Amino acid sequence: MFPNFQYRAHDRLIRRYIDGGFSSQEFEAFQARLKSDAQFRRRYVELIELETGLHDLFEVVQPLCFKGMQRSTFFMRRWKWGMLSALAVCLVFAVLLFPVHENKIEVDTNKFGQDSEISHFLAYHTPLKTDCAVIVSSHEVDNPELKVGRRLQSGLLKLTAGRIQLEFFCGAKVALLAPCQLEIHSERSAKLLQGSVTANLPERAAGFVINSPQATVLDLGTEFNMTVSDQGHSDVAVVNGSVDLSAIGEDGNTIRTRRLYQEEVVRVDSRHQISEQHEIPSSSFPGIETPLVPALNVNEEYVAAVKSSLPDIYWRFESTDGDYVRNEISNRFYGKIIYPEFEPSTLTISGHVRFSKSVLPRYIFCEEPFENLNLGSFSIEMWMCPDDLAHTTCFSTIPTTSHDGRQMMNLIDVATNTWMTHDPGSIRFLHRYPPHLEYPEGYNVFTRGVCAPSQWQHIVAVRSQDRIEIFHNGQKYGSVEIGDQSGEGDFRLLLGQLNLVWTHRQFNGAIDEFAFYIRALEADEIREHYQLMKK
Amino acid sequence: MEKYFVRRFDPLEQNLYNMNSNSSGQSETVKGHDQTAKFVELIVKYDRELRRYIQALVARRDDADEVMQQTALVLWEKFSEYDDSRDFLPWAKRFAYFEALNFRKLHARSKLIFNDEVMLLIAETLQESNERSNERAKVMVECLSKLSAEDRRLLELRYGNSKTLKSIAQEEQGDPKMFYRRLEKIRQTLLECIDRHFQSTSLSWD
Repeated sequence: MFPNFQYRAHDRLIRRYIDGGFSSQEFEAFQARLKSDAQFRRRYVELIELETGLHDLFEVVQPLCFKGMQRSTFFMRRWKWGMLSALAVCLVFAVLLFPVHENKIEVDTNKFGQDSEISHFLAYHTPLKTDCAVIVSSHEVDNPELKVGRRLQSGLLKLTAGRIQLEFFCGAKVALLAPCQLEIHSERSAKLLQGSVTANLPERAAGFVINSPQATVLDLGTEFNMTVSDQGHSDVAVVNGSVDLSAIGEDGNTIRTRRLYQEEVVRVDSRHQISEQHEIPSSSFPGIETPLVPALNVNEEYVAAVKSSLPDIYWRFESTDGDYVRNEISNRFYGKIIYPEFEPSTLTISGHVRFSKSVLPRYIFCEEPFENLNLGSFSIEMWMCPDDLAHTTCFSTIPTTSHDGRQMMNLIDVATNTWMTHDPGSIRFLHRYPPHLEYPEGYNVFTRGVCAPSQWQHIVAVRSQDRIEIFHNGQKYGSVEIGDQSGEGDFRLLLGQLNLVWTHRQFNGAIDEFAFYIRALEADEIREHYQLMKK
Repeated sequence: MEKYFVRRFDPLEQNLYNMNSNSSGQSETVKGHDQTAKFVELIVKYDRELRRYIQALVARRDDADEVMQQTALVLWEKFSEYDDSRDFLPWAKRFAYFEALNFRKLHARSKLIFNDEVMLLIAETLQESNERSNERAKVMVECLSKLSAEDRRLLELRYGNSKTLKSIAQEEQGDPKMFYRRLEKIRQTLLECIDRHFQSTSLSWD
């Protein structure tokens, strides 16, 4: 087998051939390699399969006749029909044969409804979401509309005073300093018309683009500043990492490109020239704020109300009891604290639990299982403050029968850019019984896109006898009938990541006042809890 | 396997019906309706495999479409010779192979198409990989579900309507090079996801 890097080089080469990007010389060398190297030939076949598979999956079911008639040159050549007669015949027989084709299409369409994989495919064709970004911080802004949590769609954002920070739904964080005008195009691109921005881009936001009238900056996973001056030039400074800079011509196309590295500062002028700048431009750049967990002022009334709702678990994270989180209700169901010894900062407890990303598992795990949890109703209540809106899991229920700790019955996710259809930055509650890694079936209920980074929010998920429900800040957002999904089995609770093993969807942020009830909380109770905290 | 794919309904099928009914103005007389229905059923059933086979030989999608059209026509002409006690696909592939060779002869000067020897080797490799390719296609669907919505949207733009990157870039007001880089990255991600599955089949997605 080829080493990975060698595979990648081969893959690029093969794709370039498939995409039609070869010169004759390259083609000869490529052909010689195919002839002499069986492994390379197999890889070529695998890439062709991927291409045809993608075409098969995404190509839309075609309406009949016209396109085919135009494309099928053989048809015209061999039968020497004129276009008019062909068109006429096609129309006539399309009518005559319509029932046959209609049935065929119906068969395919029926499959869509029955097959969960195909349903995934259909989900790709739902109308595009228009929310592109959310305001995550706002300081001294004179426009009351620009408040934290406000979703922004494509359009022009004018900032006349103060400073705001946005999180685009691809993960890009962009800070703006007034006066500033930013034209938002999509969750992955924007155009700076005036003023200064700083963009900080985690890995998942790689490919994010900021344009200006003179330049385009394609991010390669980094942080950079851009300023558009009134004098008709754009300055770009790379804080760390690297970016691809394009100087844009009159026709809107790239004239010149240049890769910029850390600490490089350049100016693109109105004549499309790129010149070095030896010092940071005079206009001050807005800095990217590190997310801080604001204080959650928990009052006694709230605590009393939760206790009077008779939870089985109430973890308040005021202090730890050795390696455990204390349960305020009883001496049972303590939460075991697990984190890598050399990375203690990935899980800290000080009035709330704070999770940070790690390459290793870190979580709070209730070792004592709930017997036959899924034979009846239960509810999860917590206050959650995510650092960002990346797709992460903050809660799950793990069956005791899961030998490797990977199966789960329930999840609570922050959901952005998943394969499912929902608003970006919504909260998801999943119920899947029986728990299974291959997820043959599951029920989801989502809030609308209401989740705001660096803000405490009240989340309640309820599994009642025949439905699942999700509440955000006291308000019910979704309710889905699940029929009879009950069954035997003992389950343990997990806070902080998807399961005991996988780390790719670790929750990043804080959780407080976690309560678990072996009953369905009522909507009035939930609203009251929320209102008491807000008092 | 079939259920994982939304098979394209090719206008070719319509043309075949038309040809059958009109090539001599003798509807339902040249070949009976049953035979027409049988042929359409088979060509529809094996459309994906046949296209995959052809595209491996000629590489580019547009060229594969043209060879596919020619192949279907020849298959229709020869269909009366088809022995339905035998598998349709190997029979059809033989004609597809020769049509790919013919295509090369017609376009050898203008297109970069493999010589006979390489085509034969590729055809053999395809034969060997047949079983595994169905499994890979299934895994591809799983891997697609792991991509972000934005990445899938780009794939849909590129593959859904066979649009060029230039036209996608124009519609999306972006740089074609950027789209190509993104597309490259997405395709590589998919490929590596599929590879990983075969290296360690114990992993699954949520």
